[in-house]
Amino acid sequence: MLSKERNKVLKIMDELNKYFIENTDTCHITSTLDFNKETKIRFRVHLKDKEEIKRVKEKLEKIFSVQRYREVEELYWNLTGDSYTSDETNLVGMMVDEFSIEIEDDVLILYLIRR
Amino acid sequence: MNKNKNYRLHYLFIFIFLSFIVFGVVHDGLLNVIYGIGRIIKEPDILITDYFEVGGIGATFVNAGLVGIINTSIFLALKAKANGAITAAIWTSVGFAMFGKNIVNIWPIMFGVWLYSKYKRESFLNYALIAIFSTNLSPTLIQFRGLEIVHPHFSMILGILISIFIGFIFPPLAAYCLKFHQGYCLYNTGLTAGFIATILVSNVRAFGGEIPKRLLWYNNRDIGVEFILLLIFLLMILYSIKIGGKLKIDSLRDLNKTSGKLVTDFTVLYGEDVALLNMGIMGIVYMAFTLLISNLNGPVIGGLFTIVGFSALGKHLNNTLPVVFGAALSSYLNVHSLTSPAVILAILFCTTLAPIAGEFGPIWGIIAGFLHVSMALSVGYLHAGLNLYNNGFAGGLVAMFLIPLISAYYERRNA
Repeated sequence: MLSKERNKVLKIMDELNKYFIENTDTCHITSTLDFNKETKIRFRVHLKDKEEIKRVKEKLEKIFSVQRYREVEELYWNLTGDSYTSDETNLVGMMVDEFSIEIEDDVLILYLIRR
Repeated sequence: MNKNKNYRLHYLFIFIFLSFIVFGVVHDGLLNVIYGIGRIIKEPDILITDYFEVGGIGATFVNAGLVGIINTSIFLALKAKANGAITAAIWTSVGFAMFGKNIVNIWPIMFGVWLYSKYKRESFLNYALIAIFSTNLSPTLIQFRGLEIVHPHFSMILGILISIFIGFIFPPLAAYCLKFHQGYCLYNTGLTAGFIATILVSNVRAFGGEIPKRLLWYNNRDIGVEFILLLIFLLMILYSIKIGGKLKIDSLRDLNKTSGKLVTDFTVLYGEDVALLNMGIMGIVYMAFTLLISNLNGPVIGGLFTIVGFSALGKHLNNTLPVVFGAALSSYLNVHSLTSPAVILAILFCTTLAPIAGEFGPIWGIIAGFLHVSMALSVGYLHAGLNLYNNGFAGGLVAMFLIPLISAYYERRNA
């Protein structure tokens, strides 16, 4: 059985994959995961053009500029990942300690850290 | 960020709760308040026990103020910044401290949640929100007193042990119950508590015990109560202008376009000032609406404060009005009187389903509100009034029924 922490990380990745697929024209997403003392998640998303990159970057910056709210996470983390309709990216923002975004040509790279 | 800014909502809330205590003492006098608090602590608290009837208006406000200060202080001690969820938890708890939670019966369940956090080797901060919400089963503490199946000497100990056990099992159940309704029932912990209380009560009944029904409902009008509530809601609006620098109507308009589904935290998305503005406006609008059909007593104020609290976490006029309209329509057409206590509460608390109107439109919102009333009036038997968030239980069941149907409808339409 997966630990709660690993389940939460999977849900975060689910939610972000869903966001990229629903809201961009991407046809190539790569994600890597590093479980150590802290959990590091990295997404490489190939986007259509600079305009889309700008839009997605702004959205992600808004989502992840929120501080981590551990008490909200503990009660609501099960909502992420498998919702029928709406997106829970705001909740994902509350479940992450640090983030950074890099741009390489048409590729957006998102780094997330959970401690 | 300035540390005071992190906690300014907490300080505002503590100021308001202190004003409750002053109001209570001025209203009834210190001796009456002390006597009233004693009665509130000793009497059973299952639904519907209006503390206005049990201990008087003054004691009820003092009890609510103290419960509010205790809850806010817990978050302050844990250095948890006030966000939408914390605001909702604090105000819901204060609301229910008008009819079911008191300064004594909230502790065993919170202790149980604390024990669970130690069992999981995690900080209590992670579970603080659940601890505050889980006190909706506080009536359990003294409910075993007088049951024939329990020896009188052991009833209190049994009540304490069961309450602690409830707190211990509450966190995993609360997190899991969200899956049932996908965040479309804002009072998710009401659904969780409904299941726990149903299992508990069914076992009590299976072993020959019966929990008697209770209905204490204060029927008189008190201008002082209306006045202080109006002042509080106005204070929220004024403080919103102070910290925001202006009345942010445009942001409020944007806020009213959100679905309100869990977790739509208005303090995070639009700022504390806009969330407070929404809380103040919702308080005034729903107080005015309530006064059309009822006086303000403990349970009704509980309903109002719950709406106000969740106006930082999903509720606004756009998504609540259709649901309330549906509930009022159901109450008008069904066999129950529009002014009966349970119906009044169902109309106020049906706003737990506001995200359905926010996400899928007003028609679905009206249907949800319509179904909610009948459900809320029926499920109380299952938990014998032990679950104070009866409407959260009912709302959760309605959402579990509606969401798959609505989703199937939209999937076909979009195919």
